[in-house]
Amino acid sequence: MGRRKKRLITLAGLALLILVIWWAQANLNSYTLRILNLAAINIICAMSLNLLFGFTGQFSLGHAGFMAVGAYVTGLLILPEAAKANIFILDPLTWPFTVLSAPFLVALLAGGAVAALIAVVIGFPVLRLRGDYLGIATLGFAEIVRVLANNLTTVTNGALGLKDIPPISNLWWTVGGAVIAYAVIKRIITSSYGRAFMAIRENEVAAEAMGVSLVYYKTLSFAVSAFFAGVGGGLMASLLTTINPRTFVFMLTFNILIMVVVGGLGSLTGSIVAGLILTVIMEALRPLESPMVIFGRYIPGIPGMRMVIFAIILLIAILFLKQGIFGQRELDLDAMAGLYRKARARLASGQKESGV
Amino acid sequence: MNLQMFLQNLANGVSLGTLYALIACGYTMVYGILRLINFAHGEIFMLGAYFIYYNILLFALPWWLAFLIAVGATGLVGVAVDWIAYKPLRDAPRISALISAIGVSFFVQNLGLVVFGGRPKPFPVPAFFSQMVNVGGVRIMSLTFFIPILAIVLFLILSFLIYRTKPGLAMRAISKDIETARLMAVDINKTIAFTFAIGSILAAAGGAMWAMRYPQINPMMGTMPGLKAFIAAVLGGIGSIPGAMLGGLLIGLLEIMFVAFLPALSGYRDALSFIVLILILLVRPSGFLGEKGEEKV
Amino acid sequence: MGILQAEQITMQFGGLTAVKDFCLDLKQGELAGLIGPNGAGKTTIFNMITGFYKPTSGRIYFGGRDITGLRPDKVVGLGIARTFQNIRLLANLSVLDNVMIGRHLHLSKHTTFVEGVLRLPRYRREEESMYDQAIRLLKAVGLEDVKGEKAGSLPYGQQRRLEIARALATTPQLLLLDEPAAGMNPNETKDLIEFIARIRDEFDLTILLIEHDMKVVMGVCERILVLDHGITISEGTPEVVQNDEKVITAYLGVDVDDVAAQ
Repeated sequence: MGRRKKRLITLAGLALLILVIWWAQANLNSYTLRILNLAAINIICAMSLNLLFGFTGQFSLGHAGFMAVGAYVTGLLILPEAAKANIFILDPLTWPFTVLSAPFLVALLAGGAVAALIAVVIGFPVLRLRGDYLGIATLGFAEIVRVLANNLTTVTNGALGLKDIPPISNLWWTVGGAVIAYAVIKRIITSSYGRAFMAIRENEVAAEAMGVSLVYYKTLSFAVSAFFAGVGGGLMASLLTTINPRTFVFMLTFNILIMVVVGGLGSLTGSIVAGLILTVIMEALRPLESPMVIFGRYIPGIPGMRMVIFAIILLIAILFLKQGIFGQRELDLDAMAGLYRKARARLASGQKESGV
Repeated sequence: MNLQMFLQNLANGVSLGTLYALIACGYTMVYGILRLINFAHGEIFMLGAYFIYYNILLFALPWWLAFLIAVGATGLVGVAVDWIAYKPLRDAPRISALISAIGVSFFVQNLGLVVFGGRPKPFPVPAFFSQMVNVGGVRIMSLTFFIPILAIVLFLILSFLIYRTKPGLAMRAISKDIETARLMAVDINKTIAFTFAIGSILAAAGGAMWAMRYPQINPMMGTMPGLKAFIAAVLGGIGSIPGAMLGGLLIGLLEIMFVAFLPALSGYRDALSFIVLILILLVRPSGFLGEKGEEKV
Repeated sequence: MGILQAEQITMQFGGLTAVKDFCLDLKQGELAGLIGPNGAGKTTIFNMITGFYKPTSGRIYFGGRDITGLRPDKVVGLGIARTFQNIRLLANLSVLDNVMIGRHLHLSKHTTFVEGVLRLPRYRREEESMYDQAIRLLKAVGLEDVKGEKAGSLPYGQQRRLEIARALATTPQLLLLDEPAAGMNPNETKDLIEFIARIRDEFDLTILLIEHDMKVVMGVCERILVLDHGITISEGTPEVVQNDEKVITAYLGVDVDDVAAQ
């Protein structure tokens, strides 16, 4: 497919998406909108974890930590000064956070940037570790972030967290963020730099022997991944309007990990599809955990049931699907053009046969 | 801090440390053989405590019988977890098994929430363990002394199993080289099942004592002790039983002493072991007593 | 002065001495062989030269520059490329990608990550030239037809050649080949001998190779070093080495000390 044709189709697709968002914002109820927003945020985080784990082969269990960093930074930057004074009752917020404020876009980018910076600082030593050890060390990092969020009361307000964060997140921001994240990550993995990432995933020794600096590219991948996790966290802060250390428990990382594994390690399409489906399932199952009255009978909620089902989904994906839904395949324009050609060829040959 | 308080903290640290050590043994044995961080081990620990609770509450068994039955049942659960979630992935990349283990961990934990309920349950402590002993003017619960004693007995039995029996020899052979062990007609699957059983039994014993120490149980109680025990195993040198004991003891003492000496920083207690973990991984990944593996290019 | 000097490099693992006081002076354009029984320390020498191991003692110079203990990716950047005894391809990537990764170091010197993400002109130019060179290399090793296949799905002989092509993509001055003929049948081996001689001339290379197949070693090498238990026991032209008593006993399994005593 030619570059021009591709660009045209992409533009048409974007135009369609804009129409859909415009329609959705105006017509859908707040419950549905909330699910779609959450799905878009989850997709951003899943794609960014996929860049690190699926494409670069570096197993990380620290995503919730980076999301927390992005969420707190964004939250502190968009909270109006008066609101801050109301929230930080026990221990007043320290300067300069009292006066720092920024528009939402800048706040999101700042959240991502701080997360990326932390990724560089901890990645430099930690990324020497491999596989399971890297996973457990990054999990340790996320737990340390949570402990800090609980204790640095003059910055994070401790266990109470931040509330009344301005609800700016909507589909324009979340879906827009997901589209940009997709475009950037897609361009990374199809560039020579992405090839270097994948070389590390395939065989570290060979990659190094071909001149790929392991330290540099692992850290680069880690930082980009953390950046988008931070942005996702920022969008989440504004969507939920309340964040506290419990928002960023290991379960958050677990949910993102399920999306990446179910969708397919090394497939952005997989992360998008799985992110959307699993978020919807997750929200659809929410009533399970709250009490309800059916035919006049009171049925208590079953807390924990959703995570039981989610854990089973993950286990099925890892034990039976192995490669996830998409494996390492992508359903992008090239792949669709290929499918279209194949279908047409089959149709043509079918016609010939029936003609004879 | 006076001597009395120090001694009290020391006793607490040792008893907490030996509990970590008991759990750490399960991690280190499984890692030694399968190179797998058995993330579900903390949940096995939790199940052990609940099994005893229900044995006493529902079947009104005497506590020692409840203990024995629960420990045996937990051992079976450990074997079942391996059979369902890890065995199909023996030839898959190692990370797949780890993800599976994380899945099992969340599954058991939340199933516990569904079945047992989320509210913490008071754990019945036999009078024998709850009486207070006066040691040089310090009143300490007898359990605090009993935990290290039982732990030492279990360690001795474990060491005997591993170093003096045939299944133990098979375990050590597999952890050295699984392929060669297979060629030498070691029954891999049986030995792995045996390992999971032993590890889970130790975790259940640890869970019982943990439950008596606090004395309440909830479905989330396994997560943090599990992670810390794993850190203890890494600190001591993963794959080494004496290492697990040493690591457990060190982590337990460190936590208690940190809070005792720096009460202002007690909120950071849970971060402490993770900082230790990251440091030890960077400085000496093989831990104190672990074997150093050469990397082959 | 030659292109590569190893001065008394020694490698110890714990108590085991894998290589002891190894010396080598490779001349520009030379094609030398490193032979010896299994476990003699040949691959360890490769690993020291390419930076995967840091020698316990001794120094290595490349083009007059001290490269001892430099990281592998830096060593490649200076112009030393290698292949591996147990083939290490990027199995899930295409044949073309495997060669292009060898050009990445060159590309990253002339453009930046951000330019790559934004697909700015400078990046696009580099990527295009990278592609052209990779195709040229694949033609040179006869793998152009399979450029879209997964590297891991190629037959063994082609995988070996792909590994060499990938090493060549880094535009080395010195090429280290670790048992290039391993697992090849006599016909493939014959082709390989011609191939090695050809790429040396075509790419202006100095080549050091490890090989067990004496046909390859005697057929292509101008100079041979024989290693046993980490010690260089003989050195010279194929004829000299072939007639060296010490070499014969080493291969027949008699202890070196006994030979020295005789």
